[in-house]
Amino acid sequence: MWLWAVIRLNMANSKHLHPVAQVFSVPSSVSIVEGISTLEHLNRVVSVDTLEMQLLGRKDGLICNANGRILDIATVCNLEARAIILGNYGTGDDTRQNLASGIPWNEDLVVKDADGAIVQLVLIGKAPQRCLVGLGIDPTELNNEKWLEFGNSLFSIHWSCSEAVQILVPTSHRESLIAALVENGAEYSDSVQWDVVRICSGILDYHELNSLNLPFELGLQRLVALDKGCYPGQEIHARMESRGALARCLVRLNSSGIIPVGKSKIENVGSVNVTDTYQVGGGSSGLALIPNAAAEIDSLLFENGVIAKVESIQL
Amino acid sequence: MGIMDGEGFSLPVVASVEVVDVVITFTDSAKAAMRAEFQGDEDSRVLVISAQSGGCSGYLYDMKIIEEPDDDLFQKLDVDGMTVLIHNKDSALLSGITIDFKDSLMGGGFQIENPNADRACGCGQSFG
Repeated sequence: MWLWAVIRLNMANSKHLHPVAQVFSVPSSVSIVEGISTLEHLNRVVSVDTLEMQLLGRKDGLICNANGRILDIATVCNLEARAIILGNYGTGDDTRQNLASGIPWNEDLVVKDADGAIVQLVLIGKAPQRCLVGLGIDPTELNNEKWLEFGNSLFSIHWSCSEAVQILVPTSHRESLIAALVENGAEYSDSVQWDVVRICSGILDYHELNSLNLPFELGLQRLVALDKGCYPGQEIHARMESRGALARCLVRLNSSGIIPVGKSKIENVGSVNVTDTYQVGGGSSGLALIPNAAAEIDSLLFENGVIAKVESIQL
Repeated sequence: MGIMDGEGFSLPVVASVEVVDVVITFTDSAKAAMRAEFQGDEDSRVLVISAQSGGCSGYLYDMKIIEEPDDDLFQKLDVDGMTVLIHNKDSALLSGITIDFKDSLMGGGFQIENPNADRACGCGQSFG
């Protein structure tokens, strides 16, 4: 339990989180790869090493194009001769085609669409462990390197937010699991609330993890293993890492006005791309990519007159 | 595994595959190197040239000398008495390639020039 206390103290934005927990149904793509060489095949495509994964092991990596830009996130759960790949909402078909098209002729692998079969829930708040204890789960057994099987669902800690519990549940059991979590103190919340929580907690989704962006600009070094050998985009990533020269960096913006979403030209700063925002009262917060040279700047003045305070993000 | 016991999983995703008649050019040095690799087993073994996911650019070349696989989805080429097989699923990616062999301590070995590739990585083993 002490670990959870430490994590709570370290959460920069925990003041925005629910005192116990909120549970969200987070739109995602879910794919299955089946076959004896599943981990070898994933290892050829994903930016992290999947070869030595244990049963119910977890790896978070990226699927990138040859230019090093992000096509999808790949959160992998190894189920022994098959794996679940949790990706961004809306990218599943492309990711599955990508995985299926490169299967070697002599490997008996199958890729399946599980978008309708498995859903992702996220339990997040200041004390999500209370809800888990109520279900009969020991929260100290959870971490971001493995999945814990409970009933027919899988539980793990989110790679970028230690107070977010990711849950994979069969679609048919979604409602009953949500009901059980609510019974144990969680509040079921909608997609508007999810935007608030994810932006406050620095949980990236398809707004940031897309082909406009490079992993290093988003601070995703931990989702890239440059010592694992080749994968699509590796040559570019290695060059970026060795040169250490990034054009942009990811920050959080907070304003008493409405921050405009999308690209803006800002005097003395350059091009700023606000990926997503939420509004609260008359103000707003959002995530943005700003020129790296402006990373130390205190605030940005948008063309519409809105001033936004710049806050750095450590993922 | 309970998570996989539910319903709603699709049938296997079928990758869109274009099948073309494969033409490959081998330089004399490539043929000589292949002959050396066959070690006199040209009658019982075949060279399979294939492409798979991976490498820096998206696809990775693979070349293997093996016993002829029992698979009628291969296209068969005769190269001076050596049998070369290309799987139909790789045919559009590999047709038109030229295979050369460079005898060099650094960066030597089989070299593939692929007109279908928009890009190749520095080591030459990957294309996209």
